[in-house]
Amino acid sequence: MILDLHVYLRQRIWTCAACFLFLLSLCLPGSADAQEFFHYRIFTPESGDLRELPDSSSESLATLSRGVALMETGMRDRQIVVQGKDGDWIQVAYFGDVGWVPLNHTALPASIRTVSTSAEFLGTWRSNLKCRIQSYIHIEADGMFYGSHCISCTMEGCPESISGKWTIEDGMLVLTERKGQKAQYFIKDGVLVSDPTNGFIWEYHGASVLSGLRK
Amino acid sequence: MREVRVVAFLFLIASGCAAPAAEEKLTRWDSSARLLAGMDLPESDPLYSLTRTDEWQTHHRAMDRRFSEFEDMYGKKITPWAASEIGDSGAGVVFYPFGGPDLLFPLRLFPDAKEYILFGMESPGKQPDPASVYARDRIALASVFPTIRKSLAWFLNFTYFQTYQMDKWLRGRDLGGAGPVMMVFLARSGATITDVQEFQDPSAHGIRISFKRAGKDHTATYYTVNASDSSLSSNPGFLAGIRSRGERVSYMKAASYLLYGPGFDIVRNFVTTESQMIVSDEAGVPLSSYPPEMELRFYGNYDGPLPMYWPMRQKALDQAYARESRSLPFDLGYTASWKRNASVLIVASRKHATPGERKN
Repeated sequence: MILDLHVYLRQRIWTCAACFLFLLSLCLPGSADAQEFFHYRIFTPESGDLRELPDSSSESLATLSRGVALMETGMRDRQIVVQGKDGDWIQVAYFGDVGWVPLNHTALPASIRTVSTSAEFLGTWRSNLKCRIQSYIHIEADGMFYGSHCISCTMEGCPESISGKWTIEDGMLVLTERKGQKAQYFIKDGVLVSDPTNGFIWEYHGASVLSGLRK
Repeated sequence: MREVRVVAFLFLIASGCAAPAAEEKLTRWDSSARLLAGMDLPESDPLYSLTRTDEWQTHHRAMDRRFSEFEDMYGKKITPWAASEIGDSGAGVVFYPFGGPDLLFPLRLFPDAKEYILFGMESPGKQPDPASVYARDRIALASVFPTIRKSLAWFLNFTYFQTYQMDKWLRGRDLGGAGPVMMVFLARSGATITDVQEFQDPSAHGIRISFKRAGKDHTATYYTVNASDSSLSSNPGFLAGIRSRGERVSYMKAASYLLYGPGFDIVRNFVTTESQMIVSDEAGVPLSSYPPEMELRFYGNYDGPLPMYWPMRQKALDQAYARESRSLPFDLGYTASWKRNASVLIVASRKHATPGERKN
């Protein structure tokens, strides 16, 4: 009887715990509220085209070379993939254009070696949008980055200093600014590509630290 | 009751997107808009033969898919949200600076407005006349359809226009400029276009589109204007003309943080001191610029701007969102191309004016 009571109580405790966890899960934000970055895919053939429509005879919006990053326009759980006469096509964004590439011409960043060593990222980089954004970032071997960032036509008190930690995740350089903001970068033809959707890239500016960059 | 209204509204949109009844006579503007939007025309329409081409059929399928994706990602969520959270602002005019030809969002957010006033740097374009383009050069008309798709692709995925992309695809082309894009949005929103007039007044070059929607008359005017202080100070007639239209709501989205710094004081003051209501993302009106007599409601999540705009992070907005935020069921603005559920929308109303329910 004592044993039965013990088993009974244990069952009740587990039942209560399960109910508690279930109720707790209802109170927590659901997946719809979770923030999720868009996902990137890497173009795998030596060269190819971003097509206006999911059709190999459609107009080419851009020529793609091996290793460039493409941003999926849908989220991972609902990629925008359609079946064409020559296979599945996925909708992606690339430097301001939205178009299509064959799904089997792409791979997830982690499945392809896009960066040889982290040493490729070390040094000072300068933004290429000279008319609007005057920015530098310096990436150090100790895992820290720092620099200055200025959107010249709209800011007073430029430049503003930025700093934080860098890591390599999924073949990308990830900068985490001290306020918690993250930016993801690829290396393409010797430049840092911040995001294949907006064309914001950084040119290598040498290994030395520029004056004016503040730690 | 609200659900009934939403269903009725969706039905109106759906009925506008369907093929018009055979006996319905479209205006020439409406025919042009539907042709450009990839929507069917009745057989009796003078432009009907243009819809029998391979190029148009491709356009029709592609535009249906793109607008369907837009509806899934944004449209279906915006309409009920706007009905419950904005309601009928009571203002007859929506003023939308720096948005280019984006008429799609204001039509969804403020369906009761009588007049929509947009401006940007893009050309307004000419009064579109596909029939004359076709008569001159069939191939030229065939090339218009992919151009329209390319100019809209980014917007329909990420909710804002990129100036350089608009310029790349629309400047100097047949049926280019803001006007044809606005006509496509109107056709896809179930509106019937009754007139299109290009104009050049002393303050700006523009295009005005008159249309009917849900049985009511509206106008949408697009101005090509430089809104920097140096330009507006020598062109006071532009804002004076808008002021003369009466009480208005201001709407801002993906405005390049222009109002954050010097150089745009005139338009910032115009928006913040003279609007009955302001609906803006975080790249439009900076939090510090809202006047104290306005009551602010914060929707969505604030996780800072895109990395390229890092310095535009507002600590005060961090604090405001830490205190209180309401659900925003859709993404919009720059963050819509960065990550999901990180968009901001601030609804600011004069404290004496309570947004009411829509009068349908």
